[in-house]
Amino acid sequence: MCIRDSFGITPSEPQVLDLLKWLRQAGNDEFFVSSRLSSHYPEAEDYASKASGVVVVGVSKLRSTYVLWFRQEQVQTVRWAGDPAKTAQTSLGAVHPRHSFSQWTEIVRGSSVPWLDEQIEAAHEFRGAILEIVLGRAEELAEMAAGLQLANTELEAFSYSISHDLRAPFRHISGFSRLLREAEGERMGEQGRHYLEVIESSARFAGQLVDGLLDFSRLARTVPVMVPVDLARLADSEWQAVLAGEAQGDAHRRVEFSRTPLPTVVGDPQLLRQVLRNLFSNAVKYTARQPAPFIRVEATERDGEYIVSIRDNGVGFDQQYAGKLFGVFQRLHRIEEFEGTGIGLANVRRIVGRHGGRAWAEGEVGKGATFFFSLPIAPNGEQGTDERFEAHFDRRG
Amino acid sequence: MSALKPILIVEDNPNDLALTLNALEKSRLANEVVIARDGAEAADYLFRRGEHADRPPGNPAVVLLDLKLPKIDGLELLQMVRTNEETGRTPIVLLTSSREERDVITGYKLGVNAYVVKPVEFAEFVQAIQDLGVFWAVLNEPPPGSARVSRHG
Repeated sequence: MCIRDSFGITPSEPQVLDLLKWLRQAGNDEFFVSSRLSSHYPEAEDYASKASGVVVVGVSKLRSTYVLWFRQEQVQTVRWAGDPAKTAQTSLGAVHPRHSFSQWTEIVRGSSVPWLDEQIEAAHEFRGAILEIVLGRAEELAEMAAGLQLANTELEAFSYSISHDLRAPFRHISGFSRLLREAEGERMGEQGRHYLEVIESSARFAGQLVDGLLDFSRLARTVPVMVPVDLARLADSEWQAVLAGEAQGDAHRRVEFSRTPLPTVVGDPQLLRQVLRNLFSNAVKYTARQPAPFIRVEATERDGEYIVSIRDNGVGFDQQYAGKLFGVFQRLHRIEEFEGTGIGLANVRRIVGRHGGRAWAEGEVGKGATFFFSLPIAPNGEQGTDERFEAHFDRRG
Repeated sequence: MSALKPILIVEDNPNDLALTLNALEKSRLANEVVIARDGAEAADYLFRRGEHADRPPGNPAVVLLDLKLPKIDGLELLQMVRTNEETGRTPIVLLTSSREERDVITGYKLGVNAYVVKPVEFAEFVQAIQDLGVFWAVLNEPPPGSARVSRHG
Protein backbone atom coordinates (compact mmCIF):
# COMPACT_ATOMS: atom_id res chain seq x y z
CA MET A 1 0.00 0.00 0.00
CA CYS A 2 1.13 3.47 -0.65
CA ILE A 3 -0.27 6.96 -1.01
CA ARG A 4 -1.27 7.64 -4.58
CA ASP A 5 -2.25 11.25 -4.18
CA SER A 6 -2.50 13.79 -1.42
CA PHE A 7 -3.65 17.37 -1.28
CA GLY A 8 -3.07 19.91 1.42
CA ILE A 9 -1.81 19.18 4.88
CA THR A 10 -1.89 15.52 5.83
CA PRO A 11 0.06 13.24 8.13
CA SER A 12 3.07 11.50 6.61
CA GLU A 13 2.71 8.36 4.55
CA PRO A 14 3.84 5.95 7.28
CA GLN A 15 1.48 7.64 9.70
CA VAL A 16 -1.44 7.30 7.32
CA LEU A 17 -0.64 3.64 6.67
CA ASP A 18 -0.43 2.93 10.38
CA LEU A 19 -3.78 4.59 10.90
CA LEU A 20 -5.33 2.41 8.21
CA LYS A 21 -3.78 -0.67 9.71
CA TRP A 22 -5.31 0.19 13.07
CA LEU A 23 -8.69 0.80 11.47
CA ARG A 24 -8.54 -2.51 9.62
CA GLN A 25 -7.68 -4.38 12.76
CA ALA A 26 -10.55 -2.72 14.58
CA GLY A 27 -12.86 -3.63 11.71
CA ASN A 28 -13.61 0.03 11.07
CA ASP A 29 -12.08 0.48 7.68
CA GLU A 30 -15.29 0.77 5.69
CA PHE A 31 -16.31 4.07 7.16
CA PHE A 32 -14.85 5.99 10.06
CA VAL A 33 -15.38 9.56 11.22
CA SER A 34 -13.99 11.44 14.18
CA SER A 35 -13.19 14.95 15.12
CA ARG A 36 -11.00 13.78 18.02
CA LEU A 37 -8.83 11.13 16.48
CA SER A 38 -6.22 10.88 19.25
CA SER A 39 -8.91 10.10 21.82
CA HIS A 40 -9.58 6.82 19.96
CA TYR A 41 -6.11 6.26 18.59
CA PRO A 42 -3.38 7.66 20.85
CA GLU A 43 -0.68 7.41 18.20
CA ALA A 44 -2.45 10.22 16.39
CA GLU A 45 -1.28 12.63 19.06
CA ASP A 46 1.99 12.90 17.15
CA TYR A 47 0.27 14.67 14.33
CA ALA A 48 -2.72 16.13 16.16
CA SER A 49 -1.97 19.59 14.85
CA LYS A 50 -2.19 18.40 11.22
CA ALA A 51 -4.99 15.95 11.64
CA SER A 52 -7.29 15.82 14.61
CA GLY A 53 -10.38 15.27 12.56
CA VAL A 54 -10.60 12.49 10.02
CA VAL A 55 -13.08 10.83 7.70
CA VAL A 56 -11.99 7.50 6.22
CA VAL A 57 -13.88 5.83 3.45
CA GLY A 58 -12.91 2.35 2.27
CA VAL A 59 -13.79 1.62 -1.35
CA SER A 60 -12.22 -1.75 -1.97
CA LYS A 61 -11.35 -4.46 0.51
CA LEU A 62 -9.65 -6.53 -2.12
CA ARG A 63 -7.27 -3.88 -3.24
CA SER A 64 -6.99 -1.87 0.01
CA THR A 65 -8.17 1.39 -1.47
CA TYR A 66 -9.16 4.26 0.78
CA VAL A 67 -9.94 7.95 0.65
CA LEU A 68 -9.11 9.97 3.76
CA TRP A 69 -10.00 13.53 4.65
CA PHE A 70 -8.15 15.31 7.45
CA ARG A 71 -8.97 18.38 9.49
CA GLN A 72 -6.41 20.30 11.39
CA GLU A 73 -6.55 20.77 15.10
CA GLN A 74 -8.45 23.69 16.35
CA VAL A 75 -7.17 24.57 19.78
CA GLN A 76 -9.96 26.12 21.71
CA THR A 77 -9.12 28.22 24.66
CA VAL A 78 -11.95 28.39 27.04
CA ARG A 79 -11.91 31.35 29.36
CA TRP A 80 -13.40 30.81 32.69
CA ALA A 81 -15.78 33.45 34.03
CA GLY A 82 -13.59 33.68 36.99
CA ASP A 83 -10.06 34.88 37.24
CA PRO A 84 -7.80 31.85 36.84
CA ALA A 85 -5.08 33.59 38.80
CA LYS A 86 -7.26 33.83 41.89
CA THR A 87 -5.73 32.15 44.83
CA ALA A 88 -7.11 28.76 45.35
CA GLN A 89 -8.91 27.93 48.52
CA THR A 90 -7.65 24.84 50.02
CA SER A 91 -10.60 23.79 52.08
CA LEU A 92 -12.28 20.59 51.15
CA GLY A 93 -15.00 20.75 48.62
CA ALA A 94 -13.96 24.17 47.40
CA VAL A 95 -13.43 24.82 43.71
CA HIS A 96 -9.92 25.34 42.54
CA PRO A 97 -10.25 27.46 39.44
CA ARG A 98 -6.66 27.31 38.39
CA HIS A 99 -6.68 23.56 38.59
CA SER A 100 -9.91 23.38 36.61
CA PHE A 101 -8.64 25.81 34.04
CA SER A 102 -5.65 23.71 33.07
CA GLN A 103 -7.74 20.54 32.86
CA TRP A 104 -10.29 22.23 30.61
CA THR A 105 -7.65 23.33 28.14
CA GLU A 106 -6.32 19.86 27.84
CA ILE A 107 -9.69 18.46 26.78
CA VAL A 108 -10.02 20.94 23.97
CA ARG A 109 -6.68 19.88 22.47
CA GLY A 110 -6.61 17.18 19.81
CA SER A 111 -9.95 18.24 18.37
CA SER A 112 -10.87 19.66 15.05
CA VAL A 113 -13.94 21.57 13.98
CA PRO A 114 -16.64 18.89 14.23
CA TRP A 115 -17.96 17.29 11.05
CA LEU A 116 -21.43 18.32 10.06
CA ASP A 117 -24.14 15.72 9.48
CA GLU A 118 -24.40 16.76 5.83
CA GLN A 119 -20.68 16.27 5.40
CA ILE A 120 -20.77 12.80 6.91
CA GLU A 121 -23.68 11.91 4.70
CA ALA A 122 -21.85 13.23 1.66
CA ALA A 123 -18.91 10.99 2.53
CA HIS A 124 -21.24 7.99 2.73
CA GLU A 125 -22.71 8.82 -0.65
CA PHE A 126 -19.26 9.30 -2.08
CA ARG A 127 -18.31 5.83 -0.91
CA GLY A 128 -21.50 4.36 -2.34
CA ALA A 129 -20.89 6.00 -5.68
CA ILE A 130 -17.31 4.76 -5.93
CA LEU A 131 -18.34 1.24 -4.96
CA GLU A 132 -20.95 1.21 -7.67
CA ILE A 133 -18.42 2.28 -10.27
CA VAL A 134 -15.86 -0.24 -9.03
CA LEU A 135 -18.39 -3.03 -8.95
CA GLY A 136 -19.62 -2.14 -12.39
CA ARG A 137 -16.08 -2.17 -13.74
CA ALA A 138 -15.35 -5.49 -12.05
CA GLU A 139 -18.42 -7.07 -13.57
CA GLU A 140 -17.51 -5.73 -16.98
CA LEU A 141 -14.02 -7.14 -16.69
CA ALA A 142 -15.28 -10.49 -15.48
CA GLU A 143 -17.61 -10.69 -18.43
CA MET A 144 -14.84 -9.76 -20.82
CA ALA A 145 -12.58 -12.38 -19.29
CA ALA A 146 -15.26 -15.01 -19.62
CA GLY A 147 -15.84 -14.00 -23.22
CA LEU A 148 -12.15 -14.15 -24.03
CA GLN A 149 -11.85 -17.51 -22.34
CA LEU A 150 -14.68 -18.88 -24.42
CA ALA A 151 -13.28 -17.47 -27.65
CA ASN A 152 -9.90 -18.91 -26.80
CA THR A 153 -11.30 -22.35 -26.09
CA GLU A 154 -13.26 -22.30 -29.31
CA LEU A 155 -10.22 -21.24 -31.27
CA GLU A 156 -8.13 -23.99 -29.77
CA ALA A 157 -10.80 -26.58 -30.49
CA PHE A 158 -11.10 -25.27 -34.03
CA SER A 159 -7.41 -25.32 -34.77
CA TYR A 160 -7.12 -28.74 -33.19
CA SER A 161 -9.89 -30.27 -35.24
CA ILE A 162 -8.63 -28.70 -38.47
CA SER A 163 -5.11 -29.90 -37.85
CA HIS A 164 -6.39 -33.32 -36.97
CA ASP A 165 -8.58 -33.59 -40.03
CA LEU A 166 -5.78 -32.41 -42.31
CA ARG A 167 -3.58 -35.35 -41.54
CA ALA A 168 -5.66 -37.81 -43.52
CA PRO A 169 -5.65 -35.91 -46.83
CA PHE A 170 -1.92 -35.22 -46.53
CA ARG A 171 -1.37 -38.89 -45.91
CA HIS A 172 -3.34 -39.69 -49.03
CA ILE A 173 -1.41 -37.19 -51.16
CA SER A 174 1.86 -38.60 -49.91
CA GLY A 175 0.71 -42.20 -50.30
CA PHE A 176 -0.79 -41.99 -53.74
CA SER A 177 1.97 -39.94 -55.29
CA ARG A 178 4.32 -42.61 -54.04
CA LEU A 179 2.16 -45.30 -55.56
CA LEU A 180 2.06 -43.34 -58.80
CA ARG A 181 5.82 -43.12 -58.81
CA GLU A 182 6.09 -46.83 -58.20
CA ALA A 183 3.59 -47.71 -60.90
CA GLU A 184 4.51 -45.22 -63.63
CA GLY A 185 7.93 -43.94 -62.59
CA GLU A 186 9.80 -45.66 -65.36
CA ARG A 187 7.57 -44.23 -68.03
CA MET A 188 7.57 -40.71 -66.62
CA GLY A 189 11.14 -39.78 -67.02
CA GLU A 190 13.36 -37.66 -64.87
CA GLN A 191 11.19 -34.55 -64.87
CA GLY A 192 7.99 -36.40 -63.96
CA ARG A 193 9.62 -38.31 -61.16
CA HIS A 194 11.07 -35.11 -59.76
CA TYR A 195 7.64 -33.48 -59.74
CA LEU A 196 6.25 -36.44 -57.86
CA GLU A 197 9.05 -36.23 -55.32
CA VAL A 198 8.21 -32.60 -54.69
CA ILE A 199 4.55 -33.53 -54.18
CA GLU A 200 5.52 -36.27 -51.78
CA SER A 201 7.93 -34.18 -49.73
CA SER A 202 5.50 -31.27 -49.60
CA ALA A 203 2.79 -33.52 -48.25
CA ARG A 204 5.24 -34.83 -45.71
CA PHE A 205 6.20 -31.32 -44.66
CA ALA A 206 2.54 -30.37 -44.43
CA GLY A 207 2.09 -33.30 -42.10
CA GLN A 208 4.94 -32.03 -39.95
CA LEU A 209 3.41 -28.57 -39.83
CA VAL A 210 0.10 -30.07 -38.78
CA ASP A 211 1.76 -32.18 -36.10
CA GLY A 212 3.60 -29.09 -34.90
CA LEU A 213 0.38 -27.14 -34.70
CA LEU A 214 -1.32 -29.95 -32.82
CA ASP A 215 1.52 -30.06 -30.30
CA PHE A 216 1.47 -26.31 -29.92
CA SER A 217 -2.25 -26.16 -29.33
CA ARG A 218 -2.16 -29.11 -26.99
CA LEU A 219 0.16 -27.08 -24.81
CA ALA A 220 -2.55 -24.51 -24.28
CA ARG A 221 -4.91 -27.15 -23.01
CA THR A 222 -2.44 -28.83 -20.70
CA VAL A 223 -2.33 -27.82 -17.10
CA PRO A 224 1.29 -27.99 -16.01
CA VAL A 225 1.90 -30.23 -13.02
CA MET A 226 4.43 -28.41 -10.89
CA VAL A 227 6.87 -30.64 -9.06
CA PRO A 228 10.61 -30.41 -8.29
CA VAL A 229 12.60 -31.21 -11.41
CA ASP A 230 16.30 -31.96 -11.42
CA LEU A 231 17.41 -29.98 -14.48
CA ALA A 232 20.85 -31.55 -14.51
CA ARG A 233 19.47 -35.05 -14.89
CA LEU A 234 16.87 -33.90 -17.37
CA ALA A 235 19.48 -32.13 -19.48
CA ASP A 236 21.77 -35.14 -19.54
CA SER A 237 19.01 -37.53 -20.54
CA GLU A 238 17.57 -35.20 -23.17
CA TRP A 239 20.98 -34.65 -24.64
CA GLN A 240 21.38 -38.38 -25.06
CA ALA A 241 17.96 -38.61 -26.69
CA VAL A 242 18.67 -35.77 -29.10
CA LEU A 243 22.06 -37.16 -29.99
CA ALA A 244 20.53 -40.54 -30.74
CA GLY A 245 17.86 -38.96 -32.90
CA GLU A 246 19.76 -36.24 -34.73
CA ALA A 247 23.07 -37.92 -35.31
CA GLN A 248 21.43 -40.96 -36.82
CA GLY A 249 22.43 -40.08 -40.32
CA ASP A 250 25.93 -39.08 -39.46
CA ALA A 251 27.67 -41.47 -37.13
CA HIS A 252 30.93 -39.56 -37.40
CA ARG A 253 29.59 -36.39 -35.95
CA ARG A 254 30.74 -35.64 -32.48
CA VAL A 255 29.18 -32.73 -30.71
CA GLU A 256 30.88 -31.70 -27.53
CA PHE A 257 28.43 -31.19 -24.70
CA SER A 258 29.32 -29.53 -21.43
CA ARG A 259 27.38 -27.96 -18.62
CA THR A 260 27.72 -26.29 -15.26
CA PRO A 261 25.75 -27.71 -12.33
CA LEU A 262 22.09 -27.07 -12.93
CA PRO A 263 19.49 -26.32 -10.26
CA THR A 264 16.44 -28.26 -9.22
CA VAL A 265 13.49 -26.18 -10.34
CA VAL A 266 9.75 -26.36 -9.83
CA GLY A 267 8.01 -27.24 -13.05
CA ASP A 268 6.29 -29.79 -15.22
CA PRO A 269 8.79 -32.52 -16.10
CA GLN A 270 7.32 -33.39 -19.50
CA LEU A 271 7.06 -29.78 -20.59
CA LEU A 272 10.55 -28.89 -19.43
CA ARG A 273 11.81 -31.98 -21.22
CA GLN A 274 10.30 -30.59 -24.38
CA VAL A 275 12.02 -27.25 -23.86
CA LEU A 276 15.42 -28.82 -23.50
CA ARG A 277 14.84 -31.19 -26.38
CA ASN A 278 13.86 -28.36 -28.70
CA LEU A 279 16.83 -26.22 -27.72
CA PHE A 280 19.33 -29.07 -27.92
CA SER A 281 17.92 -30.28 -31.21
CA ASN A 282 18.23 -26.78 -32.67
CA ALA A 283 21.78 -26.46 -31.44
CA VAL A 284 22.74 -29.75 -33.03
CA LYS A 285 21.00 -28.83 -36.26
CA TYR A 286 22.62 -25.44 -36.63
CA THR A 287 26.11 -26.66 -35.76
CA ALA A 288 25.89 -29.27 -38.52
CA ARG A 289 28.50 -27.52 -40.62
CA GLN A 290 30.99 -26.81 -37.86
CA PRO A 291 34.17 -28.86 -37.78
CA ALA A 292 34.26 -28.77 -33.97
CA PRO A 293 30.72 -28.22 -32.74
CA PHE A 294 30.03 -27.69 -29.07
CA ILE A 295 27.05 -26.95 -26.89
CA ARG A 296 27.37 -25.53 -23.42
CA VAL A 297 24.60 -25.28 -20.82
CA GLU A 298 24.95 -22.90 -17.91
CA ALA A 299 22.73 -21.71 -15.11
CA THR A 300 22.82 -18.70 -12.84
CA GLU A 301 20.56 -17.23 -10.22
CA ARG A 302 19.35 -13.66 -10.44
CA ASP A 303 16.51 -11.68 -8.87
CA GLY A 304 14.49 -14.65 -7.75
CA GLU A 305 14.93 -16.47 -11.05
CA TYR A 306 17.09 -19.19 -12.48
CA ILE A 307 18.53 -18.24 -15.84
CA VAL A 308 19.52 -21.19 -18.01
CA SER A 309 21.54 -20.65 -21.16
CA ILE A 310 22.36 -22.98 -24.04
CA ARG A 311 25.21 -21.78 -26.18
CA ASP A 312 26.41 -23.24 -29.46
CA ASN A 313 29.09 -22.35 -32.00
CA GLY A 314 26.88 -22.96 -35.00
CA VAL A 315 25.77 -20.80 -37.86
CA GLY A 316 24.20 -18.19 -35.58
CA PHE A 317 21.62 -15.62 -36.58
CA ASP A 318 21.25 -11.91 -37.20
CA GLN A 319 20.51 -10.29 -33.84
CA GLN A 320 18.24 -7.69 -35.38
CA TYR A 321 15.73 -10.42 -36.14
CA ALA A 322 16.00 -12.01 -32.71
CA GLY A 323 12.47 -10.94 -31.85
CA LYS A 324 11.07 -13.12 -34.62
CA LEU A 325 12.80 -16.29 -33.52
CA PHE A 326 10.11 -17.36 -31.10
CA GLY A 327 7.16 -16.69 -33.37
CA VAL A 328 5.00 -19.54 -34.59
CA PHE A 329 6.35 -20.94 -37.84
CA GLN A 330 9.04 -18.27 -37.92
CA ARG A 331 12.39 -19.14 -39.37
CA LEU A 332 15.49 -17.07 -39.96
CA HIS A 333 17.18 -19.46 -42.32
CA ARG A 334 16.33 -20.84 -45.71
CA ILE A 335 14.54 -24.13 -45.69
CA GLU A 336 17.08 -25.65 -48.12
CA GLU A 337 19.84 -24.89 -45.64
CA PHE A 338 18.19 -26.13 -42.48
CA GLU A 339 15.01 -28.15 -42.31
CA GLY A 340 12.33 -27.61 -39.70
CA THR A 341 8.89 -26.13 -39.25
CA GLY A 342 9.84 -23.19 -37.05
CA ILE A 343 7.55 -24.14 -34.22
CA GLY A 344 10.08 -25.51 -31.76
CA LEU A 345 10.99 -22.13 -30.29
CA ALA A 346 7.36 -21.04 -30.15
CA ASN A 347 6.72 -24.09 -28.00
CA VAL A 348 9.70 -23.22 -25.82
CA ARG A 349 8.45 -19.73 -25.25
CA ARG A 350 4.95 -20.94 -24.51
CA ILE A 351 6.04 -23.60 -22.04
CA VAL A 352 8.44 -21.28 -20.27
CA GLY A 353 5.71 -18.66 -20.15
CA ARG A 354 3.34 -21.15 -18.49
CA HIS A 355 5.98 -21.56 -15.80
CA GLY A 356 6.17 -17.82 -15.23
CA GLY A 357 9.47 -17.38 -17.05
CA ARG A 358 10.77 -15.83 -20.26
CA ALA A 359 12.74 -17.03 -23.25
CA TRP A 360 15.13 -14.96 -25.38
CA ALA A 361 18.20 -15.37 -27.53
CA GLU A 362 21.43 -13.70 -28.57
CA GLY A 363 23.36 -14.55 -31.67
CA GLU A 364 25.78 -13.41 -34.30
CA VAL A 365 25.93 -14.59 -37.86
CA GLY A 366 28.68 -17.15 -38.22
CA LYS A 367 29.58 -17.01 -34.54
CA GLY A 368 26.89 -19.11 -32.92
CA ALA A 369 23.91 -18.44 -30.70
CA THR A 370 22.90 -18.54 -27.06
CA PHE A 371 19.36 -19.30 -26.02
CA PHE A 372 18.17 -18.25 -22.58
CA PHE A 373 15.17 -19.10 -20.51
CA SER A 374 14.25 -18.10 -16.99
CA LEU A 375 12.25 -19.94 -14.40
CA PRO A 376 11.05 -18.39 -11.15
CA ILE A 377 12.68 -19.98 -8.15
CA ALA A 378 9.41 -19.93 -6.25
CA PRO A 379 6.57 -20.00 -8.74
CA ASN A 380 3.07 -18.86 -7.84
CA GLY A 381 1.43 -21.57 -9.84
CA GLU A 382 -0.11 -24.77 -8.60
CA GLN A 383 2.21 -26.79 -6.48
CA GLY A 384 2.28 -30.48 -7.25
CA THR A 385 1.79 -33.01 -4.54
CA ASP A 386 3.07 -36.52 -4.74
CA GLU A 387 -0.26 -37.98 -5.72
CA ARG A 388 -0.63 -35.59 -8.58
CA PHE A 389 2.84 -36.51 -9.72
CA GLU A 390 1.83 -40.16 -9.80
CA ALA A 391 -1.44 -39.44 -11.55
CA HIS A 392 0.46 -37.35 -14.08
CA PHE A 393 2.75 -40.24 -14.89
CA ASP A 394 -0.14 -42.64 -15.23
CA ARG A 395 -1.82 -40.22 -17.56
CA ARG A 396 1.18 -39.59 -19.71
CA GLY A 397 2.12 -43.25 -19.85
CA MET B 1 -3.04 -76.96 -45.55
CA SER B 2 -2.36 -74.38 -42.91
CA ALA B 3 -5.27 -72.79 -41.16
CA LEU B 4 -4.40 -69.16 -41.66
CA LYS B 5 -6.77 -66.84 -39.89
CA PRO B 6 -7.89 -63.82 -41.82
CA ILE B 7 -6.92 -60.23 -41.14
CA LEU B 8 -9.93 -58.00 -40.62
CA ILE B 9 -9.55 -54.36 -41.66
CA VAL B 10 -12.19 -51.95 -40.44
CA GLU B 11 -11.77 -48.67 -42.32
CA ASP B 12 -14.35 -46.27 -43.69
CA ASN B 13 -12.11 -43.97 -45.72
CA PRO B 14 -11.59 -45.45 -49.21
CA ASN B 15 -8.21 -43.79 -49.69
CA ASP B 16 -6.86 -45.02 -46.37
CA LEU B 17 -8.27 -48.44 -47.22
CA ALA B 18 -6.46 -48.47 -50.56
CA LEU B 19 -3.18 -47.47 -48.94
CA THR B 20 -3.57 -50.05 -46.17
CA LEU B 21 -4.28 -52.83 -48.65
CA ASN B 22 -1.32 -51.77 -50.72
CA ALA B 23 0.90 -51.84 -47.66
CA LEU B 24 -0.36 -55.28 -46.66
CA GLU B 25 0.33 -56.48 -50.17
CA LYS B 26 3.91 -55.26 -49.92
CA SER B 27 4.35 -57.19 -46.71
CA ARG B 28 3.52 -60.40 -48.48
CA LEU B 29 1.27 -61.81 -45.82
CA ALA B 30 -0.64 -64.81 -46.99
CA ASN B 31 -3.63 -64.24 -44.80
CA GLU B 32 -6.97 -63.59 -46.36
CA VAL B 33 -8.02 -59.97 -45.88
CA VAL B 34 -11.59 -59.20 -44.86
CA ILE B 35 -12.81 -55.65 -45.18
CA ALA B 36 -15.52 -53.93 -43.19
CA ARG B 37 -16.46 -50.34 -44.09
CA ASP B 38 -18.04 -49.42 -40.78
CA GLY B 39 -18.44 -50.63 -37.20
CA ALA B 40 -21.72 -52.41 -37.83
CA GLU B 41 -20.30 -54.51 -40.65
CA ALA B 42 -17.32 -55.34 -38.47
CA ALA B 43 -19.59 -56.38 -35.61
CA ASP B 44 -21.59 -58.59 -37.97
CA TYR B 45 -18.41 -60.30 -39.06
CA LEU B 46 -16.88 -60.69 -35.60
CA PHE B 47 -20.06 -62.00 -34.01
CA ARG B 48 -21.10 -64.09 -37.04
CA ARG B 49 -24.42 -62.48 -37.65
CA GLY B 50 -26.23 -60.72 -40.46
CA GLU B 51 -24.52 -61.29 -43.81
CA HIS B 52 -21.66 -63.11 -42.07
CA ALA B 53 -23.85 -65.55 -40.12
CA ASP B 54 -22.63 -68.45 -42.21
CA ARG B 55 -18.93 -67.83 -42.17
CA PRO B 56 -16.66 -70.51 -40.68
CA PRO B 57 -16.22 -70.06 -36.96
CA GLY B 58 -13.04 -68.56 -35.52
CA ASN B 59 -11.66 -65.17 -34.68
CA PRO B 60 -9.43 -63.26 -37.12
CA ALA B 61 -5.65 -63.29 -36.59
CA VAL B 62 -5.76 -59.57 -35.99
CA VAL B 63 -8.17 -56.69 -36.43
CA LEU B 64 -6.84 -53.40 -37.79
CA LEU B 65 -9.38 -51.01 -36.42
CA ASP B 66 -9.88 -47.39 -37.35
CA LEU B 67 -11.09 -45.14 -34.56
CA LYS B 68 -13.55 -42.93 -36.38
CA LEU B 69 -16.18 -45.15 -37.97
CA PRO B 70 -19.80 -44.66 -38.97
CA LYS B 71 -22.60 -46.46 -37.10
CA ILE B 72 -20.52 -48.15 -34.43
CA ASP B 73 -17.24 -46.34 -33.76
CA GLY B 74 -13.88 -47.94 -33.02
CA LEU B 75 -13.94 -47.74 -29.24
CA GLU B 76 -17.53 -48.99 -29.01
CA LEU B 77 -16.65 -51.96 -31.17
CA LEU B 78 -13.58 -52.60 -29.06
CA GLN B 79 -15.72 -52.77 -25.95
CA MET B 80 -18.23 -55.09 -27.59
CA VAL B 81 -15.50 -57.48 -28.70
CA ARG B 82 -13.72 -57.49 -25.38
CA THR B 83 -16.81 -58.15 -23.28
CA ASN B 84 -17.85 -61.14 -25.40
CA GLU B 85 -16.43 -64.45 -24.25
CA GLU B 86 -15.90 -65.88 -27.67
CA THR B 87 -14.29 -62.90 -29.29
CA GLY B 88 -12.68 -61.48 -26.15
CA ARG B 89 -9.10 -62.42 -26.90
CA THR B 90 -8.97 -61.34 -30.53
CA PRO B 91 -5.85 -59.21 -31.14
CA ILE B 92 -6.92 -55.68 -31.99
CA VAL B 93 -4.77 -52.84 -33.23
CA LEU B 94 -6.18 -49.33 -33.30
CA LEU B 95 -5.08 -47.45 -36.41
CA THR B 96 -5.93 -43.84 -36.21
CA SER B 97 -5.16 -40.22 -36.99
CA SER B 98 -6.06 -39.24 -33.44
CA ARG B 99 -3.31 -38.93 -30.94
CA GLU B 100 -5.73 -37.39 -28.49
CA GLU B 101 -4.83 -38.62 -25.07
CA ARG B 102 -8.31 -39.47 -23.99
CA ASP B 103 -8.63 -41.87 -26.88
CA VAL B 104 -5.32 -43.48 -26.00
CA ILE B 105 -6.32 -44.13 -22.43
CA THR B 106 -9.75 -45.43 -23.38
CA GLY B 107 -8.16 -47.65 -25.95
CA TYR B 108 -5.73 -49.21 -23.52
CA LYS B 109 -8.33 -49.40 -20.76
CA LEU B 110 -10.60 -51.31 -23.09
CA GLY B 111 -7.79 -53.73 -23.77
CA VAL B 112 -6.57 -52.85 -27.19
CA ASN B 113 -3.35 -54.63 -28.00
CA ALA B 114 -1.66 -51.80 -29.80
CA TYR B 115 -2.40 -48.23 -30.76
CA VAL B 116 -0.76 -46.88 -33.87
CA VAL B 117 -1.09 -43.35 -35.16
CA LYS B 118 -1.19 -43.40 -38.95
CA PRO B 119 1.86 -41.50 -40.15
CA VAL B 120 1.65 -39.01 -43.00
CA GLU B 121 4.81 -40.30 -44.62
CA PHE B 122 3.75 -43.21 -46.77
CA ALA B 123 6.93 -45.20 -46.36
CA GLU B 124 6.44 -45.05 -42.61
CA PHE B 125 2.84 -46.10 -43.08
CA VAL B 126 3.85 -49.11 -45.11
CA GLN B 127 6.45 -50.02 -42.48
CA ALA B 128 3.91 -49.67 -39.68
CA ILE B 129 1.39 -51.91 -41.43
CA GLN B 130 4.06 -54.44 -42.26
CA ASP B 131 5.29 -54.57 -38.70
CA LEU B 132 1.76 -55.08 -37.46
CA GLY B 133 0.93 -57.71 -40.00
CA VAL B 134 4.11 -59.63 -39.41
CA PHE B 135 3.74 -59.40 -35.69
CA TRP B 136 0.15 -60.39 -35.35
CA ALA B 137 -0.68 -62.39 -38.38
CA VAL B 138 0.72 -65.62 -39.60
CA LEU B 139 3.42 -65.78 -42.23
CA ASN B 140 3.05 -67.92 -45.27
CA GLU B 141 5.72 -70.30 -44.02
CA PRO B 142 5.22 -70.95 -40.34
CA PRO B 143 8.36 -72.17 -38.56
CA PRO B 144 8.84 -75.98 -38.82
CA GLY B 145 7.21 -77.91 -36.00
CA SER B 146 4.99 -75.01 -35.14
CA ALA B 147 1.72 -76.07 -33.53
CA ARG B 148 0.08 -73.10 -35.13
CA VAL B 149 -0.33 -74.91 -38.44
CA SER B 150 -2.88 -77.35 -37.11
CA ARG B 151 -4.56 -75.13 -34.56
CA HIS B 152 -8.21 -74.38 -35.05
CA GLY B 153 -9.51 -70.84 -34.55
